[in-house]
Amino acid sequence: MTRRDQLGNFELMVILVLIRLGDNAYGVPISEELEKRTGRDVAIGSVYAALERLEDKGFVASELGEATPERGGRAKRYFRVTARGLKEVCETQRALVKLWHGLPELEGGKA
Amino acid sequence: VTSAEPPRAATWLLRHFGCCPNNDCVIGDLDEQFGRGRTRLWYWRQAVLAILVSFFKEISGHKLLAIRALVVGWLVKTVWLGLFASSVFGLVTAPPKYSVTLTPLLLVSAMSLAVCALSAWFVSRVSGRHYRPMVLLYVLVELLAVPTIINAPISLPPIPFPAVIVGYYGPIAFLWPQPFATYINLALINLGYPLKAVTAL
Repeated sequence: MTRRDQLGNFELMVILVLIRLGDNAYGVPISEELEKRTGRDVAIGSVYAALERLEDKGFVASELGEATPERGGRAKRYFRVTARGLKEVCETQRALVKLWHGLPELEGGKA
Repeated sequence: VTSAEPPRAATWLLRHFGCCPNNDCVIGDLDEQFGRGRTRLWYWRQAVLAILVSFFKEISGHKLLAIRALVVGWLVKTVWLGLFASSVFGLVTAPPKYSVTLTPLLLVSAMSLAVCALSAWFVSRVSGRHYRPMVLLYVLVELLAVPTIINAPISLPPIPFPAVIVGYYGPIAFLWPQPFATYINLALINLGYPLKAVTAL
């Protein structure tokens, strides 16, 4: 696997939110969930940039949804994690857990 | 403070300068969140960030296309400069030394804008579906040369201010594809300004 195919920090957060949201994953709930879980302001432009990168890597697929009046008649784009994306998340998790293991500085969340 | 309508100017900017392939969805998301009580300031911040993020993502993702866009733009200008500019500026009647008349400067400024628009149009034609970030890049690079003009010294009393500025940076202006510096410089040479004397400083 090349470096280009790996998950970046923000991409990992976005893909975890997609898994959490399931079928209702479009821009608004994704950014709201990210803000809720991370406690930081999220730029919707950055969310779409990450989603497009994930789609290019084959970790995420998308399709256009319905247009609603509250969106000025513009359609939603729904995103979902692909099988390849799920596999990559699991591998990243395994690697991170191995790296985390046995670091006294990080135990108990004191770092 | 919120109002029923999202800020139109921000939406317009995002619609025309947003480079994200999902630009329409981004605007829709912003409208939806604005309708749920977000402020105008929030909307503006999100719109500006969306333009910047999508621009840099597109450029970094298509570096070769970006280089090609710049080369094409500069080529168009160089060809124009080589074929037409000298003869056009030659038609401008040379006034007395060290005086700047408004008409030739307006004329070259108008022509600079015209050739800028023409080269930007060529850039858009060769950039396919990535035309927005490429044209934006081209225009930004053109504008970036402006500080080199603004920062010029102004300590030559006998020579009018614009002549010092443009003359001092004459060689750079010719090398650097900056429209105003290049064409105003060319006009000043035609108007009789001693480029060598100024650049020798």
